[in-house]
Amino acid sequence: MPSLSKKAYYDYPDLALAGNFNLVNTEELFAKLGIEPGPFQKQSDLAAMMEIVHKHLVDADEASPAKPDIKNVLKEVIPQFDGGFTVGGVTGDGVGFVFRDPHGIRPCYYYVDDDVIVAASERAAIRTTFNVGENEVKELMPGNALIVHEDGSFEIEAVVGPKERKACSFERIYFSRGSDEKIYKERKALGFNLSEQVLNAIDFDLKNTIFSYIPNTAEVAFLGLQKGMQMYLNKIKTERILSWGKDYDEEKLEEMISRRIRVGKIAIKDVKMRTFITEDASRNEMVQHVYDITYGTVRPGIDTIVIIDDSIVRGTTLKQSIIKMLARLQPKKILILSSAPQIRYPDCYGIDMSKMGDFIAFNAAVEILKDRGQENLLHELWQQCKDLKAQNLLHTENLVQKIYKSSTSTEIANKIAEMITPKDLGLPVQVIFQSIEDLHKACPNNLGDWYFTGNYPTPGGNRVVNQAFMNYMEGKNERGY
Amino acid sequence: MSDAIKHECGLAFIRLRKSFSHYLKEYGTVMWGLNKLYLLMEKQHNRGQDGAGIAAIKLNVEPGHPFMHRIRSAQPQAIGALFQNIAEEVNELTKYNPEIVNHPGLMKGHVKFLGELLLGHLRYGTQGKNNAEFCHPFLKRHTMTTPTWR
Repeated sequence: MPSLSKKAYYDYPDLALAGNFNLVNTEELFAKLGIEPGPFQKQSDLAAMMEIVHKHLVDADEASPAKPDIKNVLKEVIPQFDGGFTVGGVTGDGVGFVFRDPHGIRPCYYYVDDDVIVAASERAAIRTTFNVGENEVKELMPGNALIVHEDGSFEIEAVVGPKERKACSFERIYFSRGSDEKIYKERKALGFNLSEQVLNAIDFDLKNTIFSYIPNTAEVAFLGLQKGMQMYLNKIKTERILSWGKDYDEEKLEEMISRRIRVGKIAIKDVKMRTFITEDASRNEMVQHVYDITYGTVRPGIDTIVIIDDSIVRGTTLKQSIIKMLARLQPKKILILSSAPQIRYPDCYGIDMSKMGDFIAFNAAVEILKDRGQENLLHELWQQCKDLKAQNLLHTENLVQKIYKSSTSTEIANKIAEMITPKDLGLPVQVIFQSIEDLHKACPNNLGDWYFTGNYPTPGGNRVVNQAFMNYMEGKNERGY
Repeated sequence: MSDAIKHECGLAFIRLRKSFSHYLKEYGTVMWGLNKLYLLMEKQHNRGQDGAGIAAIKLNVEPGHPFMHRIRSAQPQAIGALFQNIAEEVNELTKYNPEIVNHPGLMKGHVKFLGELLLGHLRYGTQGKNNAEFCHPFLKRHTMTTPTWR
């Protein structure tokens, strides 16, 4: 096995590191250390983190061989990282530590009792594993480190001054498991918050609308949406019954109170079909069958299908599979809901969404510019990016935000609907997204929203988005970091 | 979720605060910490299914004896593969000495991953190539004279 270190016989402290993170200044870190990263290290930001933590650990060890001060090491090292991170480490001296980025982008929780000290990315995982209560598991706050000394004592220490909290909202929308007490409620709120837009889109015609979700993670948001619909229906029932005065009998009352929201399990996630023949027609046929439908759930030509997903990134599965499949049921209309807002910008803090051309919202905004004969803006911005890059100022401003300036959110949603509707479908498709305000209301502790707004919490973010845009314009299919 | 988005990873950190004899007495097994690590990792399997890794540190080891171990896998069901590997070592050990499980000191000496400090990681292969070499934890160690890793 290869060692990460070439200086195999030099006596320095042992260290193991692992994390949930992404750094956007890896090159800078290597340059600082005077290391020319090899082909392996270049691809790994953990390798850069490893080198820098280790270097400081060696210095601390030389300064105080008996007991190197890990706290100081972390305080020196962590402020140098630009990114989102939760990292765990253990040293050969028997010291353990876990630290979290100053914006709290990546999640981290911990639990302590007489027998054990635990840290993990998700609270519910700790609760289940150790059978403990919600409040017994604590959040490791942004910029803090949990340090466990050799003797088993521990401390929580601020290792980098906390900055504005920008915990990743995608953790709540989709990534973390929905079994978490708070995440479950937040996902339901996301679905609930779409209620008003949905009622308007179906013209309040609940009788001829059937609700469903795209499995499996959108199921919880669906429950919230269902609650919103039920509340509206209950309000209508009460109004009607009150308007009757004394003019009703048992049958009439029973008919009214037994009215329900129509829900069904319409879409089914199927096994991934193998595309054993690569010719396009065969491939398209197989791709379509990633999802299946339940037959007989929809009255052809009468019912509108409302179906909720947690987010729409590329939109390809919707176009190639889900919408085609749903259309087989011959609904009057298909309404797709996204419990996340429009994904318009790349993430660079640990989620693999890095290429502009992958985002259907971006492609829609570009299409709108083209429709209006304004595609020149793209070239102007590209030139501005090049100028900034030449001055090493790419991190100062997110220029991609200007591409969205001239379109409303609804215009982009409608364009997305157009783009994901297969030709000759023969029925209308509408797409509705969560608004950013409603996202924040639903997930008040996770206000990190750069993939929706372009407001990156660290300067590296602007550099990444501008670089991603330049890659797009240059036809390069690679990450912006 | 119709568009699968990948995510960089999950973390599991465990520090046992007592000696292994305590866990044997209280919970009936010296493997308590490793069992918890397995659970903690599996309960976060949503955070990464392309690979996994574990590092373990044994405290207060006699000089010259290996105290840091690591295992990583980029196989499908990587978490299971890691713990299967650990289990095989234990099974091999207990096959001829079934009584050894009641001797925490001997177990600690023989089972590589029976450490007090445990660090687990789950990975989605988003950065770098998707092989075990890119799985966390990464190590930096001071000598190759005690080759203790796989």
